[in-house]
Amino acid sequence: MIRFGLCRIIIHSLILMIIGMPALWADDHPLALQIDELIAAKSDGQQPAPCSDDAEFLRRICLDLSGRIPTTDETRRFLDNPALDKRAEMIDQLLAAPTYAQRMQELFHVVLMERRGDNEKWSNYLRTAFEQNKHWDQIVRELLFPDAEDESRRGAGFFYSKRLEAYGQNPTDYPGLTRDVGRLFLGADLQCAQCHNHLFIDDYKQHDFQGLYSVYLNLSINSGLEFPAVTEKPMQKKLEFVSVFDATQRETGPRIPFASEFAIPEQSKEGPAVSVLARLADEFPTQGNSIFAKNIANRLWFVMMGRGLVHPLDLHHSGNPPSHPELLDLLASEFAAHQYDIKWMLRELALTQTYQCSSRFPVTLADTADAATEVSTTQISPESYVLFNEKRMLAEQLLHSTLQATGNLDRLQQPAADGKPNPELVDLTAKYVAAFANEAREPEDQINPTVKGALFTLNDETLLQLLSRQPGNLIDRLMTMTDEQLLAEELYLSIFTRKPTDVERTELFAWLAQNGDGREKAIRLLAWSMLTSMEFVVNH
Amino acid sequence: MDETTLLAQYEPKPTGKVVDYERQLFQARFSPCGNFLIASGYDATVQRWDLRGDEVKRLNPCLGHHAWVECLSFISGTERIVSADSWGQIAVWQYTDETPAPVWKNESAHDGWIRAVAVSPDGQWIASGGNDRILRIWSATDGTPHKEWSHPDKIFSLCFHPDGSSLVSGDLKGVIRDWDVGTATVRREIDARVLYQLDKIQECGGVRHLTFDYEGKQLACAGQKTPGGGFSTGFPCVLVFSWESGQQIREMQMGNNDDGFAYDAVFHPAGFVMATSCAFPGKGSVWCWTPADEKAFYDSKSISNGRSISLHPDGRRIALLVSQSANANGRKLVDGVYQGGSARIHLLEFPGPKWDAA
Amino acid sequence: MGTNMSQRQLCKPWEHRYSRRQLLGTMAAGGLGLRSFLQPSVADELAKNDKQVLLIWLDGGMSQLESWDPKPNTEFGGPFRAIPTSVPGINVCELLQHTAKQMHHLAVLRSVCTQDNSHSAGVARINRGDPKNRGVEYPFLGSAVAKLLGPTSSGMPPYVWIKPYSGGFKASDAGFLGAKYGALALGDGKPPDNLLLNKSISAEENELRNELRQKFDERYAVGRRKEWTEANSYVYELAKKLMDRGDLFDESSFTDKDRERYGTHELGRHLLLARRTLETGVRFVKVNSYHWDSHGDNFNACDSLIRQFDQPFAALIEDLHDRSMLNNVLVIVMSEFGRTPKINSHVGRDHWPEAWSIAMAGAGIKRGVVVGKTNDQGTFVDGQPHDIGDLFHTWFKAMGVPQELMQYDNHGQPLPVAHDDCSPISELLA
Repeated sequence: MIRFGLCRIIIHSLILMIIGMPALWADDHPLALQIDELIAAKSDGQQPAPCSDDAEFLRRICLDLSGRIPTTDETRRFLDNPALDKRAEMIDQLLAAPTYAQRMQELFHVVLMERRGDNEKWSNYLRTAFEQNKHWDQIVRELLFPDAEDESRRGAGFFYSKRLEAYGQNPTDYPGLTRDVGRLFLGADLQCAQCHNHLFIDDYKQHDFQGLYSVYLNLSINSGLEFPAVTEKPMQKKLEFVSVFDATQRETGPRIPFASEFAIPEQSKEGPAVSVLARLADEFPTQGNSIFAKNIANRLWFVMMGRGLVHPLDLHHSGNPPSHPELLDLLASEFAAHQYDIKWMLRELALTQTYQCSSRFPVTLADTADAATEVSTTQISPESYVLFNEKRMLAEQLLHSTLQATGNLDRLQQPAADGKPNPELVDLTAKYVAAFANEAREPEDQINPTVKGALFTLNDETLLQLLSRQPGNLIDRLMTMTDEQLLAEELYLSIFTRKPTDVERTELFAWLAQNGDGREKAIRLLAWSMLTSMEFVVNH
Repeated sequence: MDETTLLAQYEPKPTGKVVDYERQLFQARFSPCGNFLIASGYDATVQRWDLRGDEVKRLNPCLGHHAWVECLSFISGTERIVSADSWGQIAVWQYTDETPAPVWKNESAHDGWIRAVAVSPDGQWIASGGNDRILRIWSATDGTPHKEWSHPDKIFSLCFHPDGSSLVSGDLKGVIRDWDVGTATVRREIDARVLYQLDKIQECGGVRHLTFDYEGKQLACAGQKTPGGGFSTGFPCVLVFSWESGQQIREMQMGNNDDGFAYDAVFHPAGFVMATSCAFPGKGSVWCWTPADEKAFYDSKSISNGRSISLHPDGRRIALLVSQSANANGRKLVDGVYQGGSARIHLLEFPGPKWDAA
Repeated sequence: MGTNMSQRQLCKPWEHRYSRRQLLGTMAAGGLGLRSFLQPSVADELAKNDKQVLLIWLDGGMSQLESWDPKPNTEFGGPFRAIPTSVPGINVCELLQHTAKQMHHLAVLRSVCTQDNSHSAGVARINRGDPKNRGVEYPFLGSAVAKLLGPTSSGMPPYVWIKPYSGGFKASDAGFLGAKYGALALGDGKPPDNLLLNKSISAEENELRNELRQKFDERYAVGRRKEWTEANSYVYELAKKLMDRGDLFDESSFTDKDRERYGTHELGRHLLLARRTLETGVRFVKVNSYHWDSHGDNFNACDSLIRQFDQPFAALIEDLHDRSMLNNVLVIVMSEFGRTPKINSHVGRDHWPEAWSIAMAGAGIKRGVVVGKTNDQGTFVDGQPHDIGDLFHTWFKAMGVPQELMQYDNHGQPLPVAHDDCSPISELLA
């Protein structure tokens, strides 16, 4: 598998780093170094997997920062590039590319809306936010107070308005909205917290929920505008509630969970109403709010490393502590110190050895006929980070990668005549979301192969159509190749973002030889099998 | 009469008298003589109160039923009532006796729950029906079976036309049928299907009560409309039909779509209808309107969860029976005892003059 | 199919086998799943275990007083009569007229006393067996059985959920066990989307492409964590099994007599499909019926709803018995709670976890018994109350789950499969 001289050098340097030597390219990145040290310190003597090879790294970083696998040209260029700092260069290049904002839009849409549905204004809002590299605190401020008067916030109201829609037989789910704000921005499932006795601050747990809830009870959907928006009624009085344990009557004013209550603003007869939401939005996503900082640091860590330091991501409480408390503290404080600059944070994480280590242990070929001996992976916990945690691809990542691999992406990314997205792409996206996304309201935080997805790849027309020969697409390119070595490389680079091994080449030639005059069908069957295999459908 | 005039004469006012009963009741009716209040209950009894003195006096109950006694009816020209229970028994009682024993009873008059009994205006026949989908006619005098025929659906309500020419049945599906008792055939159907709905997997509603006006020109039926939400309860609703044409004159829908049923309705000789329904507290349970008007002239917000409304022969006094049994998920104990519901009969009266039948 | 394609080479069985052998190589196939970590004796025991489960979930809460535990002619007893059953001395509510005739196959626990009177929390609590809180989401019973016993020898998906509304793959039941143990949901009993083999692919080609994919997966898994690859293989195996058993969903193949006996209403159709699903060897079948939350007009609601349960349930028990399946299939009927004895002003009954009933039959369960009782008013349990944790212990024992498997391993965190402080109810066990 590891067949590139350059990569050997990098791995060598990484091995040196583990034993205390600074890596060649890590000099300028003390945070990355600190992260790796903290991970190594808790690895319990478990030898980490080696550094990923260039192909493995490239596929991973492209999926993470641009939402799709690279083209064969991009892969070839990267593999052939002799520069020692080409990984850092690639990271910067991807962060600067327009695909970054698209990827972040798709990622944060799923994180924030959990497949409740989409809205064009909301997509535009998210896209623009990431194009402008709006910092996380600013985004959260805008989500928490989607002031309809402020044009830069238009679309942000979807976060609230969609949650205020009735669904099924449920009335307006104010508790659910309260819960989501706690889950998504503080990593605390406050609704659960009512039943658990071991949260941050025992005495305040019901207040924390009710204080935030009291604010949301005054929200309703404002359907009179062309963009998703909400209306806020002025808060009149404190919210009364009863503890289920001792039945005593209590009350609270508005409150940011785990912080103190603030006074209900006095409303003057003249002038606009004073917004409680505005104050909440101002005081919630601050640099001093360490719980807020830890939540987003943990979530970005999860995006890159495949497992939260606190996991599940929304169950941060003393009974479920972080696997690496100092690391989470470090990430949170550094992130806050960099004004919650997401791009900065992703770059720092991408530069770590932890991110760049391989998702597989090398296999030692033994002399006996029993072949390979493997390092047992069963006892390696995902929170050790010594073996890169394979990650689920969002339906959008899977689609874009499938289109890329099958040579259909360029065509489908051409907007329609009216400037709107290509309708065929819109249709494909809906199909992929239906086949591969979770149900609404279920976080997509782990690899989740399903029978539904399998039946889709097996029998739905969609994937089979992408594999039918069209001018310039993958099958077409392969069919025009007479040099089977080149064909093998093109196929593997297109789908697996790597060159085939010698064994794979031999197998492929045999396969093609066997199916002489059924070549196109044979290639399609093989490509289908690769596109539905684990090596393609997960981010490893 | 305009609304103000109607309200001046016919706004029910509390008399300050209430009758409390420790268990829930289905119906509380003034006797035709006006001297008694008779009620049927969830506790297999028929209860009686004497209204003649200054204080309402509770009398010995009629005992011998099982489970629920949902229906009762007075037998004209006698001092007898007929009652029926959910285990299929019909019994006739002399309600003026000190300790009434059944004049006659039939323990297996029906298979299971009897939902309605009605007495012919001449006091000769009793009609009964229920979940077993059979209409039976009995001699009111001795209980001899006279006739029976099957009915297309569960029978929820029955009444005779004041001239005795028709027996009218209301069923689960919201169909009202005009029966010729002599031939046991349906003369016509009147459409009250708005009171029925298959809500998700549950059959809901039905014609829960039927009543004629004094002249037999209008027929009112009570039930609920458009059940929704999780509990299959809907808007309390009363429909009034022209008996001659069978056409609907008025639909009166009150309250909210989770209030539930209008259980009872009664015509006042002056031509308006009074109805009562269950509701969540404070939402109103008694309303009065003339079928010609779109809006009720009276809609009380003060007393909740009405089960029956009865008009005294004097045309002034009203007995409004309510159920007192709050919704209660989970355990509620008082002094270690689990609490059931109870009943209260509010005695109300109109400020206007006594009704002069002339 | 293209005309110049070498159809012969793909389809001739011997060539097919040859090419496949060449291409697939010698890499060891097969599971590195649960069984490989077990003692041989436990693994043998499991391999022989062909117990199945049918869980009928009446969502919203069925009234115990109008079903399994009637209190006729008492304050809270309601209007209905109690009727005798096929077991002398045991009476049930008259709304269970058909089920009464099958009582000799059933066991009813009348002393169920659980902890939650809200739907939102109660549904999950009961479905999970309300284990001690250890900071993880426990699986629902179906996912637990899918994990503990796996598919039967039929290879059919171990957990199929027949439900109204939408179908799909419902991972949420699986809790911390992970998506693999979720339920394949047949929305309104309909087959999943894309069940039929795409017309452009022949059966041979389909087999071949799946073996190729499997080969790629096995190669990918070398040196990596195995669980995701196993999960991927698993869902493709299940998809194959389902495609092979497309007849499962052919409603037209039921006889008129079956339809008449089970009823054409939703629960009737779904229980008939459940019978066939059990016959195909699915390990755990859950059938959900919704809208049992009779806060208003409870008695008319019960007259409508309980009869919809009674008819097909009785037919199903009779059929399972006639087909000699009842010794093998554990049947459970439950809700998130019972309903209040008190009848509210809407003539409804509210939520009552304090004293209610759960019925069961079949594998490992005693026949024709009532265990536990409530007081004369039906308000509280008289004697020893039983929580859902006791029932989970009882059912795991009835299913023959080996003692060694009564604990999950959640990445090193040991988690008892049922509440530590509860135990099997011996009176219910055969």
